[in-house]
Amino acid sequence: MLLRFNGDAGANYLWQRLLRSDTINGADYQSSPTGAFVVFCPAATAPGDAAATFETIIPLHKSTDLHKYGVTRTGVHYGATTSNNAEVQCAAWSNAAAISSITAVEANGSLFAHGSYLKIEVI
Amino acid sequence: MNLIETLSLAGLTTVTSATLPSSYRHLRVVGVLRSTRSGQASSSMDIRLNGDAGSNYGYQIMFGNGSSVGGSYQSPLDRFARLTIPAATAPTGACEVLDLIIPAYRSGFNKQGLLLNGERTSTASTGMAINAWTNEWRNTAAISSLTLLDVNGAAWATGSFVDIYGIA
Repeated sequence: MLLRFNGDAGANYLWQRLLRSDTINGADYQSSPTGAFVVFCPAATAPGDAAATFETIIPLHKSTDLHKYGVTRTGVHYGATTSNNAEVQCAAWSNAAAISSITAVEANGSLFAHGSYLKIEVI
Repeated sequence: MNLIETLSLAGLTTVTSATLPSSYRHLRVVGVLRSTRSGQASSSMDIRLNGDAGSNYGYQIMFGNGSSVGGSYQSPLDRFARLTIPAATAPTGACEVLDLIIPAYRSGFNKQGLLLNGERTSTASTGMAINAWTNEWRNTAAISSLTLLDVNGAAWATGSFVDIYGIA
């Protein structure tokens, strides 16, 4: 799942991820994806009822001075006995406009499963 | 979660919060920052508690940078955290983002923080970082103030703010 802002589907995002998957450390960087704050979600062959849970915080979403940067914490279980990930991520939308809307996109075009939800809070 | 204070950093090199109220149980500190440090891609910002500049702190950090993973433990230190702040030659609009949670800031234990932050200082594939920390201040006093200071004496840029929230 990716997040997009203000309907921008261009290659105007960035993210840097750090993860621990079972006993393996990893990191990856994406310089021009079409969304950010990526959350890898369990799908059809994942253990029953497994889900991804995450929290993203984007400070100063109305500011027009700097690009929009945020951080995400994610926990996900999408393998039978492996692929249990703890992840953190810094991501950005390379745009100084105020964020007026958020779009959650299933990056592979599949449907989100029953019980999936995204809660948006304004602080 | 209630806003206690917004620290407007633009044009400043150090700032200390007002005295924190004792009406909350936990603190959350959230912000975005950029430095005006001339000719440099980054500057550094320290966080101190209660004005304590002694060697009474330590932290463990792990980070992701491109495809690299690393970590370190540092102690004793004179700061709760030291963050990399994008500066004058960093990509336009790039900034530091931080999310610091300090549970039980008035407890009788030493104070621990959980910090997640990241920044982009160049367009290189290693120019963006994500950092996860646990921070310690070896003092049982209640936290009454936060001080932010640019280590290089450079001023923060327009748009730099840090908000301090209290959680009941």
